[in-house]
Amino acid sequence: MDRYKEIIPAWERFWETLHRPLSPVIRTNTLRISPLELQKRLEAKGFRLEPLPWDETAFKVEGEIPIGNTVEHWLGYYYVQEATQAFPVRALAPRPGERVLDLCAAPGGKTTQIAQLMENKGLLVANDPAPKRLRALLANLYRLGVLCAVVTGLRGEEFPKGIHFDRVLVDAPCSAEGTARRHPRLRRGAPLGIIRRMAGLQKRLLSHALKLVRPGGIVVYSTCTIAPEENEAVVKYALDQGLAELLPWEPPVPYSPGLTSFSGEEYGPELKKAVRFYPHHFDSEGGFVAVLKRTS
Amino acid sequence: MPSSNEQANEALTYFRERFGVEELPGRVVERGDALWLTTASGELPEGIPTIAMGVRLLRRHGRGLKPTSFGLMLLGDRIRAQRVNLSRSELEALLQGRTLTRKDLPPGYVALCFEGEVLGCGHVKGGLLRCQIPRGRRQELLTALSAARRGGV
Ligand SMILES: C[S@@+](CC[C@H](N)C(=O)[O-])C[C@H]1O[C@@H](n2cnc3c(N)ncnc32)[C@H](O)[C@@H]1O
Repeated sequence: MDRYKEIIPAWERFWETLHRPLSPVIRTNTLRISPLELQKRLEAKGFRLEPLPWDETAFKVEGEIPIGNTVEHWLGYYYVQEATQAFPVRALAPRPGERVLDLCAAPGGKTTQIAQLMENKGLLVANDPAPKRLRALLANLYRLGVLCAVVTGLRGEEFPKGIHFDRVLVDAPCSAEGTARRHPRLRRGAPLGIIRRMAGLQKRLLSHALKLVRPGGIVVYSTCTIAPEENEAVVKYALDQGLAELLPWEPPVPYSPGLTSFSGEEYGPELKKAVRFYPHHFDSEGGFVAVLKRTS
Repeated sequence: MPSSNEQANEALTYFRERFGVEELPGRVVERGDALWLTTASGELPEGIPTIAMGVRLLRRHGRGLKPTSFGLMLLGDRIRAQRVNLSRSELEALLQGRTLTRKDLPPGYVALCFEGEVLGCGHVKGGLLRCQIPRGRRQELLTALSAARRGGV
């Protein structure tokens, strides 16, 4: 990741954090149980739960057995979701009764979170073209009791127009450098070839998403990678098509603003409104979130 | 996608008569050989192939209906009849594919319960109770039960 030395603040701390293990975080399935009730049940089983100060539904968990191996998990009372991964949906801010599209949905961490915020009311389209990952998505939707979702298996860039969505989430396939704490080989950074190939697909997905949302509607673009080619460059490409503007968004945790340039590429001052998360800021993984509003 | 009163009535009548459920928390649509429970408002335009819509509640099975395990789990406390409470060892036996002798139970589908919660579907025939929870889900639950035992709870 040496090529990010100039853009990542407190590089030494960042690098050191990548070598530290990450405690799992769970999100209460509020469609089924309250955070307090869940906390009581898991603590009675010997887990230690520490609520995240910025999210009343989420807990950092420690225990002797893997947190995915409990009867409560099997019953759909919670979803194991890393803290950074919860922010794209908070930025999307879906409401009950709306029409929402999750364009790259599997395995459903964010789809189920959207359904919770929609209180199972409205229309939630969950799309993903990968058959194996779709199976995991379905299992999670059924397990958590998501009733407002319709599942499709299309390539996002070919998703048909015709429904005017209020909100679209593009949680794009990416090189996943932000997950290096769990996948140590990513500490050296993703190969540039992969980054370039991902960026091409991401540009197609985000520009298409802007055509699927109604004028005035919101598109959130998110990744779990650090590469500016997959983040700011993708958002700039979509903005240049003249359909959307970038909205400011303040997450409730420390973050860095989006980059205005990298490695000779200019993204422009507008991109400061995007948000970068780094693992050393709140002991998490890395990620990127940009909130776009369709203007015309 | 047909979504008529007829299907809603068929599903509700089934759950009312068999499981004492008074109300379903959504509308019922028929897709393929199954009845699904959904709260999705509206439908996708014609021509967009959909893989799922809400949660599958019932499958058509010969001339009858068979409840799904996810459907029963979702209905949870709404289920008032045909709840079969299991001890941990009974549950483990069923999950391992063994049958339990339960001459007290009437034949047909039942809701398997553990510590007060509905887990999924069982079936009684000739006084023998069998687990109908799909294999993968059964294995996951067995793993969770044995992890809890190792964890001392
Ligand atoms: C970062 S993951 C999504 C994670 C998911 N949103 C969650 O929170 O659980 C990216 C997903 O994009 C899907 N994908 C790959 N190519 C795609 C395409 N052309 N259109 C839409 N989705 C695609 C992958 O199958 C993968 O499941």
